[in-house]
Amino acid sequence: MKIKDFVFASRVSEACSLIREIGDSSYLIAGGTSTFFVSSKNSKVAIDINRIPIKGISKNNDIFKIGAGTTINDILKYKASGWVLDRVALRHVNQQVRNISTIGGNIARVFYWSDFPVALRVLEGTIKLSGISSKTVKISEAFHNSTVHKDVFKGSLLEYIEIPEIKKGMGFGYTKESRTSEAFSAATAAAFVKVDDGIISDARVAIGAVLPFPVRLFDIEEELKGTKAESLIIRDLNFDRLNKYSLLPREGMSMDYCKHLLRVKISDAICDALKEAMGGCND
Amino acid sequence: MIKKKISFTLNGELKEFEINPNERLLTLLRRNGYKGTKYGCLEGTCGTCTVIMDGKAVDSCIVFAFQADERVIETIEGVGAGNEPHEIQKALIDEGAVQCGYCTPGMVLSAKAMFDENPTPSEDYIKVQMDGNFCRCTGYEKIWSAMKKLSVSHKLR
Repeated sequence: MKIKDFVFASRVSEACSLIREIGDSSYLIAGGTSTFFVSSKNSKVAIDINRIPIKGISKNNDIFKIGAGTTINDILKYKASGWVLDRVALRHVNQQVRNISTIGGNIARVFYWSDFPVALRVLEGTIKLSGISSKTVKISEAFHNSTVHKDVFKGSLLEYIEIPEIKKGMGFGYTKESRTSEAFSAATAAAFVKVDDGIISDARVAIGAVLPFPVRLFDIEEELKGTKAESLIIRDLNFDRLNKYSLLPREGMSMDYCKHLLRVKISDAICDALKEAMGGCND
Repeated sequence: MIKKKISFTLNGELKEFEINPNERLLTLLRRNGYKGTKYGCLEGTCGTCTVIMDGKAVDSCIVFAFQADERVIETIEGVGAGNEPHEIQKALIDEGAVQCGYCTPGMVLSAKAMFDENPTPSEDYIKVQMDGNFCRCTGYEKIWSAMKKLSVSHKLR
C-alpha cells in the first residue's frame, strides 16, 4: 500500500475527527507492520495513532483490559494468573515485530495470517470502539464474519479489548504451523474448554489461516460438550465436518495435507486446553 | 509526491530530515549515510536492518520513516568504534562469531536492546530476544555463546 501523506493524532477524539475529515483515504497506523503486505489501488493518508495513550494491560476482578496500542511484546511480558495471551504473543513473528506490532492492529484488520483473532474468538469478551458512535461490542458479534467485522470497525478507532481470565477448571490451547517462525501461518487453531466434575461443560474451537477469516467450529464444540475430559476424545471427533469449508491450502500444500494439518492443529489445541483445565494431566 | 519534515534523535543527536511519506526508515537512514543498517528481506524477517527505536529493536524495513518522528533512534554507527568496540562487539569477536558480517550490525543492536533491558538474560531469554536475526554463516552457536558469556560476566560484576 502506498502512503501519500501522514498526520499524527495524540488523543482518541483527535483521531476520530481525522478519520471523519479524511474519509475513505484515511488509514490508521499504530505499529504499521502489516501495511507493507497490504495491496490497495488507492494511496492512503496515514493517521499515526501511536501517541494516543491507549496502551497497557490491567486486571480488574476477573477481566483483563488490554489497550489497543499495547505491543505484542508487552503482551508476551505481562504475567498474571489466568493470563494466556502471552502464548499467542510468543508465536508472533519475531522480537523486532513484537516490539512494534500492536494487538489493535492485529485485530482491527483481519488478515488470514492474523494470530489474535483466532485466539480471541475462543476467549470471547468485548471490544470498545470510538468513532461515529462510541460502542462496546461482543467479540463473538464483531468477529461473526468478515463483512460484519468490516462494518463494526469502519470509521472507528479501537480503544481496548476486555477478556475474562482463565480460571481453575478452564483451559486454553493455541497452535500454529508456519514454514519458519517468521513466516505467515499455514494453519492456526485455538480452543477453550471448561471442565466440571471431569466432564466438558463448555467448549469453543476456532481456526484461522486456512480461511480468509477465522471461524468458530460450532459442530465440533457441540460434539465436545458433555463428553469425558480426556485427550482420547479427539479420536472420535468428526473432522469430516471441515469439508463444508472452502479451505485455502498455504505454502504449496495439497488440500489433503491441509486438512490433515488442520486436524492435527485442532487436536493439539484441544488437548492443550484439556490439559490445563485438568490441572496439567488429562490422560 | 509531497515531502515533509520530521525530526528525531539519531545516535544522541537531534536531526531533521525531509522525507517522502511512503519512505521506509531503512531507506531514509541509508540515503543519509547510515549504511551499517543493511538491506535484507524488506519484510521484517531477517533482522539485518535492525535499529533501536525508543530502546526496542525494530526492523527499519517495515517501519515508515514518519513513525520515527520525535523518537530516539540508535543505529550501529552509534555503537562502539573501530578502535573501541562495544562490549557486545568485543564478545562476538572474542567468540569468533562473525564470518561474512552482513548480519552483525543487526545482531549487535538486537543484543544491545536486550542487555540494556536485562543485563543478565538466561539462555531461553536470549533465544527469544534474538529470534528476529538470521545468520547464514555461523549456525548461531557462537553468537549465543558470546551472549551467554556476556550475561555471565554481567552477573559476576
